[in-house]
Amino acid sequence: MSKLPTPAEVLGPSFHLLPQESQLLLITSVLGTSPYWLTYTLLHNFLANGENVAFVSFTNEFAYFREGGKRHGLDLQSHLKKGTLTFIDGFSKLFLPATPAQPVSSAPAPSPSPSRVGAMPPRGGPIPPRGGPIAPRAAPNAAIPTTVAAAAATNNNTPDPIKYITLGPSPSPSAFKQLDHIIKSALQGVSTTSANKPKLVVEGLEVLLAAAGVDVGTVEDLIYDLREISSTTTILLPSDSVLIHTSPTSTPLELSHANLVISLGHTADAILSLRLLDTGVAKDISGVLRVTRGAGNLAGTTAGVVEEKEMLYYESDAGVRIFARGSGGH
Amino acid sequence: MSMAPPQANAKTVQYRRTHNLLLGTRLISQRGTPSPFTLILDSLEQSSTPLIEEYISRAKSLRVGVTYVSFTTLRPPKDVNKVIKARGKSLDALQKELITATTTTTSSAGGQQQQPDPSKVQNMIIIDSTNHLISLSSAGEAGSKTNMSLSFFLSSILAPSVTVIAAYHTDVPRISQSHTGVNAYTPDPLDLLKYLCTTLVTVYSPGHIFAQKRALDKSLPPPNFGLEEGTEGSLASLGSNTGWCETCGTNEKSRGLIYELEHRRMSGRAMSEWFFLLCHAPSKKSKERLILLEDHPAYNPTIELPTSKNEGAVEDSDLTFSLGLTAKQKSDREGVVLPYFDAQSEEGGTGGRILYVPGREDDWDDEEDEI
Repeated sequence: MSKLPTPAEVLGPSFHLLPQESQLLLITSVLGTSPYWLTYTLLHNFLANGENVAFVSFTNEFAYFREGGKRHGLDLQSHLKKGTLTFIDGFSKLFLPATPAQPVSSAPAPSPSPSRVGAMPPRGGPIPPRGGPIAPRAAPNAAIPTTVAAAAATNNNTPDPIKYITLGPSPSPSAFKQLDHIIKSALQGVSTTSANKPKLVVEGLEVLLAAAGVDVGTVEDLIYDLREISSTTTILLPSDSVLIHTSPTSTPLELSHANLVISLGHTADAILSLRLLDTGVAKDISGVLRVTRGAGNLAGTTAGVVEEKEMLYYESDAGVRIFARGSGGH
Repeated sequence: MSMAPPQANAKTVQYRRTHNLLLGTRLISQRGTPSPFTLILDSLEQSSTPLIEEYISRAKSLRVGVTYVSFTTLRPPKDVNKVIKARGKSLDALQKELITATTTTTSSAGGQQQQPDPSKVQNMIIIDSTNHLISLSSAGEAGSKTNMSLSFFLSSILAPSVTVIAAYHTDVPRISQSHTGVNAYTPDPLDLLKYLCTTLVTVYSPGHIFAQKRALDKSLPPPNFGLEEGTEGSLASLGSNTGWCETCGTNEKSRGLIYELEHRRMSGRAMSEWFFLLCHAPSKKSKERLILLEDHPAYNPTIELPTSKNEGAVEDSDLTFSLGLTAKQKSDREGVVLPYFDAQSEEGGTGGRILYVPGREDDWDDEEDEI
């Protein structure tokens, strides 16, 4: 069993993840630094404390996290069976038709919502889908029960613990409302079993912007609604320079992504950004973790203070260690 | 976006210490010269939250009703009378709700007096994210939302007794909705807001300003922070939202921030000044936390505060008498004409004559005493 750092080591000893305050942690990462170990750190802490967690992913299926969690000594499968963990899969069937009879479309053609049509510059065709390779991976799953998706939307007590989000081959604004509904009902489903509000982890929201043509305002509304009914919300987003640094000539997709990440940064309690070592590659350092205080930690909070810090981390088979610069990897 | 901090100017600091600091204090307390519309520009490096909390707490002590319009905030600051959730609402609905909120608070707060004093602020409206207000006003999507202009919205909620404090996040890129109905000559919404506001505030993190000042003092290029820091994947710099204090704890000191203020008077004259809102009052005597940035020792190590020259020195020593002079003693002392000045005048230059004017109490003997 490997070892993961505790949230106190990451966020500072005086900061607490309180059950009643709608806190927001923003985890940003760049290409080459996987943010999942931080997710496992939080999941481990939440689940070990007997709290209910809803985990939404738009870029990976449950098997990916099950295997990843296993490497870090986290048995997500048993928590899923117990019902303390609710996994909402927004990846496998996002662009599949809701009815099984219909054939699968060749590619997840992004169909921008009406408001976005005018925002397109003349040179841009459809937005380049970042989630391009989704279709070939998702296609084999088409045979497996797509009926669950429909069932999940109406009934929370389905035998399959995994809930699926389906927007259909050509997502429409009404489909986004359904998305909101699925996550909300899942959250409310877990919250009825416990007095505390559930924790929420959302990963891969950029897929909605990039591939499904969802308006950034709709995504923000979704997060706001979900934050109201959950205690600590953790959102994982990429923050590579090309996605964050915008100019007047930036495409609507670039602007939307930067808008989402920075807006969330303005309401977050803490921003945890992962990046590669500035000086290059080192064999015993995986990257740099920077924790900064967000505005959410300033106003009338009783949760304590987020301690700003910059640490190095090393991810290996023996787990993840975080250590100060210069204190060595051993 | 970030601007290099100003150099200390010893010549004008005395004037600004009295005039600009007074105006700055009045503006933050909304006393004397009220500013109907204050726009606060902030960023990930420094949130406007501590400044807005200061506005609220000062408004509270003057019994001003505070209405908080929340677009993104789930936990509004304490001491707010009313919270309006603006998310998902149309500009029309928001306008109606705000007008109702500000008019009802006036009648309940000023119950005794029939006619409220128009020069006194009765209601404060705080908007947590003007970015969202702008996108709401420019969204003509689906025809469901009316295309009420931002300037009309703001002027409709402003009454003589109402003051609006709006925060705007400068680093959030705006997604322009360039659809056909928009006039190409319509100004950028942020420029419009900057033009409309009577007070423009830009907040900065003290740690970042001091680092830039230290670099400038050595003629080095000032470091950049935040998105311009140049670190791949870094969203916010270290030192963001941390404040600056050598004695306070982490939570206390984050109340401090530096801000640049530009106030346009009714006459059209503008005042521009840099302030430091400290996390605690600098001396035990006053409760005022606002000082000029130049009067902060970390920013300007050469500064000599007028109070520390005589009062400060005496306070420290254990003397039983006062070493200082009163204003009258000082003017009397300056009025004394010393003999060598007199000797240089025409009639004084007659040799070693003793200049003495006998007083009433002198026992004058003509025989003995000769001049």
